[in-house]
Amino acid sequence: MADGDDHRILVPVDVLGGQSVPSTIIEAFASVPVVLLGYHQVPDQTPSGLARSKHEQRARAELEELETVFEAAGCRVTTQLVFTRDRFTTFERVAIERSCDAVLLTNPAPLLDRILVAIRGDVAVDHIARLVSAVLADTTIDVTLFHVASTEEGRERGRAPIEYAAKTLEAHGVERDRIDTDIVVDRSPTDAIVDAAADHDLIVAGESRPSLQRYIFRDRVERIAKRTRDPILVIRAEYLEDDPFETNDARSS
Amino acid sequence: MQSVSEDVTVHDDDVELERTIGLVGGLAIGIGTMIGAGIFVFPGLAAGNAGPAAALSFAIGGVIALLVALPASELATAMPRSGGGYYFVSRTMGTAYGSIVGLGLWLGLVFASAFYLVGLGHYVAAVLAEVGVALSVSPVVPLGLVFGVGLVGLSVAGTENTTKLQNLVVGILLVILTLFLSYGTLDTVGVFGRETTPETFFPQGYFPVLSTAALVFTSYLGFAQVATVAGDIQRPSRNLPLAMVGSVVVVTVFYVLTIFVATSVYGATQLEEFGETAMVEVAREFVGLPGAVAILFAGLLATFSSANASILSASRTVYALSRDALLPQKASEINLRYGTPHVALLAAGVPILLLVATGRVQVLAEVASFLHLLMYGLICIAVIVLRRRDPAWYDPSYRMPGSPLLPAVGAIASFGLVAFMQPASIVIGILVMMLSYLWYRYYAQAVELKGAL
Repeated sequence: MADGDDHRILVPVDVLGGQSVPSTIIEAFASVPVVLLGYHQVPDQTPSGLARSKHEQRARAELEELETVFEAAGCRVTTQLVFTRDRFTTFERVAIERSCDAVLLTNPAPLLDRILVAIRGDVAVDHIARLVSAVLADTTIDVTLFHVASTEEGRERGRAPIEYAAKTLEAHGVERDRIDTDIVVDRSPTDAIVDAAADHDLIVAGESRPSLQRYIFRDRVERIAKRTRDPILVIRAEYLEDDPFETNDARSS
Repeated sequence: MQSVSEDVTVHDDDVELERTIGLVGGLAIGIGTMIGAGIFVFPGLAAGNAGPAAALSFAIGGVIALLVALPASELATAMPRSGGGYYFVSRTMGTAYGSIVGLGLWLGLVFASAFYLVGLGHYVAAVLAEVGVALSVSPVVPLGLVFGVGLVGLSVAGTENTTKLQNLVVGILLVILTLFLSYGTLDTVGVFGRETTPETFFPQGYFPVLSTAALVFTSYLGFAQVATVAGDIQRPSRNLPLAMVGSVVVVTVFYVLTIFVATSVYGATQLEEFGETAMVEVAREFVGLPGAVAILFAGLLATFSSANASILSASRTVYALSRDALLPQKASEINLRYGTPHVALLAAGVPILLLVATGRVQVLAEVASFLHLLMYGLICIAVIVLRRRDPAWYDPSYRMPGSPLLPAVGAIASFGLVAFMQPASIVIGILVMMLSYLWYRYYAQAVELKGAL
């Protein structure tokens, strides 16, 4: 069985924006410790101290109510309330401070039957697979391991990481018949993921390496989030960096 | 009570206020607020008043700004709170001074915003002229009003994450200006074989150098705006001083070079005739239409971002005063729909529009400078006072060198510069001070400030 204690997931919630966390999500993530981040995005024109003094009480009440819902589902949950002008800066800072390896961008998700796990060839799939199996523990949720190749030749290269991920999931207690695999060829990974997301209820994707690319990727996560109604679990780059797939493959063989 | 860390302000009850502006963002606020005036509005006027020696006027302004930026940095690291100069002076010297400086700062920023909007109006008018739209009346004031209404409306509706946009705008401006001034300087010293316009350095004598310094000091009002968002700056102990001092140094170099280049291309009288958009003609002289278009574009960006920054600062000052009960509580109300302090924004926006309607660039600029210089002088004095009394809470992580001599010089220079303004500006400035004092006596005498010395 996968051990949820190896992981911690940051769940940011726009507390005053009327954003709720679907009960399906809460049930699925009850097996992993969660940091519930209540945030309020302050407009540039509003001094943050003013926003705090006007909204703190209501924000705190909303956050505490949500905390009790998580606790009722059996989740080990801690909370943090932040007023910010840039939510992604806040997500990243709190994720680092609280050692969270993934961030869940919630979206309304009435059902949670099948999740889409985007696997890139260039990063370790080991951490992703272990985290996914921890989330899937004690649920009946199915999973699709998904790879986007840029060319037909890339299709073959995508098979190895996908197979490795499937094995890891199996080793951590996810039955083989719950695991599906899919490799598509598309110039735009974003488009392919958004298309595939249509028959899935949650997307799992790894963050890019910290670089200029990552700066753009932040927007890409947001773009995916805007174009799909699925929640997205973003696995943070620093947990993917130090174990590229090849070394894992070598280690496992 | 609260504790301030590098990235975040943590309150007693665990609520965190994220600090989202880094060093680049801080520099962009300072430079973006200042550069609109010094390069894109003043060169023509300044050269008309003082000739090539206007470069010296800008240098004097830069030195005074630097003398104030140092104590302001020390105070900002000791009190990294939104409200900036008003906060420092009121906490050090009491409610009466606080009222005069706070209300003065609010109105000073109102005058500055109006000045930038009129400048923006000139640039839009120049664009219209460039594309061949002929108008029977000058469109400058109506255009300034339209943009004023637009900006206030945009602010009330609320914007998010404009820091990146501001960084981009300032980056573009610096690239355009660096190219333009490098070419201009090389050309002026004769690299491309140009005959420069021979002119005496002090065609009008020495006095106009100082009166011009007083006029163009509006070009330096932005650095203290960095302190008004001190609560949003990451690593304030390092970034606040660097952003304030750095932005003053950068704009001073650009201003002095601009005047140097402009006055060597055209004579002072010619520049004066070109008026607010003189730099467009200078650029046209160098590289023809593309140069004129680039400077027009830069001028639009610069005056727009200066106006926007000043409107925001004015509304933040209104909020800081209202939080301290020096203005009615109503002013710190938040709009339910947009989450913005609409009353404070209107308290800035409405008087700005009234002033734009006057269209008087020089008076607007000087009164703005007058009211800021008053605060700057008191900021210098505040450092001397705090160093002497050394209260327990006063623990700045940056300490300016040369105290008490340098802050004393800064105070004398700030107050002294006021003497060189036009009589009309001095009268309006004193009037605002007197009204502020009366407001204090009538409305706020009983107010005790939290955290005062």
